[in-house]
Amino acid sequence: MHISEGILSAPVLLTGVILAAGGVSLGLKKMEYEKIPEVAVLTSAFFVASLIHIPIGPSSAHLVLNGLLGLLLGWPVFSAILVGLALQALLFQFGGITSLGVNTFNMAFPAMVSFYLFRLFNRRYNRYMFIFSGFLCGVIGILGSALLVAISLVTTGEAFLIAAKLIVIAHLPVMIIEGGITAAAVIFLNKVKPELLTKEVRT
Amino acid sequence: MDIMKSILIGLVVLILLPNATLAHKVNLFAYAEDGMVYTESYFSDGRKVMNSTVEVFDAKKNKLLLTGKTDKNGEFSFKIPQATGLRIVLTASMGHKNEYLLSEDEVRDALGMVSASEKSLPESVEKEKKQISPKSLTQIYDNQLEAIVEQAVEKKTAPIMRKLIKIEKQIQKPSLQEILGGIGYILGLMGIGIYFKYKSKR
Repeated sequence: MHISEGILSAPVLLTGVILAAGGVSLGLKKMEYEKIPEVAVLTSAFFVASLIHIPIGPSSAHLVLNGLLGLLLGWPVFSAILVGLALQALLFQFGGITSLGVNTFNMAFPAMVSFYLFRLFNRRYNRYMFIFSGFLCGVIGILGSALLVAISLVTTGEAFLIAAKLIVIAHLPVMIIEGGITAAAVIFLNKVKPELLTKEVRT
Repeated sequence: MDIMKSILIGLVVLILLPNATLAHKVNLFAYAEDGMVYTESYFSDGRKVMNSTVEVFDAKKNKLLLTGKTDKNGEFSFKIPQATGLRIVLTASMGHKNEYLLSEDEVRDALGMVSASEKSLPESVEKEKKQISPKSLTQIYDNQLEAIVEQAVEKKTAPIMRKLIKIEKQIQKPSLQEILGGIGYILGLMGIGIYFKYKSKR
């Protein structure tokens, strides 16, 4: 999911930087003072999540947690993912520095989709809808990122359909696992601290 | 107030005691060669560990195989007791302890035993053995010599290569230090964020 250095062309990298910068500045403006520790904790979780490997046949994929981060944070998820990716690139050489903008957008945009999707599904509390929307957000996080990565790779000459199919199929197990994790997290938070979930939608 | 002062002075004296604070940990290094294991021990400030106990265990079964003491150069060597992995434990003064694991491959290499990855004689020597063609005697000796030298160098460098690969593999994995460092940076950014947001609130 992390695009490494030297793969994408300069225009794509620049577009990524501009899109990510827009998201991050919006996120910084919308970051509430009381929420900053929560953002930090979730950034740490995102940072460490990539070290948890899920073996898939010969290779393996890793957890991303962007769906969960998105539905909990909203726009500040851009800042969280930017910091997480920057530290992963600098300390573990995961991904790249020039591709930081593209990677941030690829992971944070589906996270924002999760945010709105979760609130859409939970206008009225229905236990099964609640659990399902949690699962769906986890899946959308990975699926959206996979599709955006495929789009990013199109400019390198790879046909979109082939790249998209490959990446999406490779990440199917991850989607299911992340969906499960997100659903479980959402159920747990609802019992322990429901204020974390209903950020903008106050019922 | 006087009790506090004397406690404080006592603590300062303890801190200034020479040996106690200089050694953060004790380092132990071992390598196997030609049927012997050579160990070197030193504190992290470079001082040699003299007259300290070394115990050698079977790496898998954890049976104590032999003990000994480091000499005044911090060295201790012993004949390889058996062809398995060896766990060497050093106990130095004041609660310093460390261990070094010699893998089974390394021990077998030093005993001259064939390990799984060791190649057999190069094909050129095998072929020479099979065909007795009318070549000059010196040519046969040259080819054999080359093959023998190649094999000897291969035998010596194979354990070094294995160790290099092992070290390289260890560098690839994200270490605990890097993970803790990353989380530290995140918390630092959180602090900076809180500071600036607080200022803008007022």
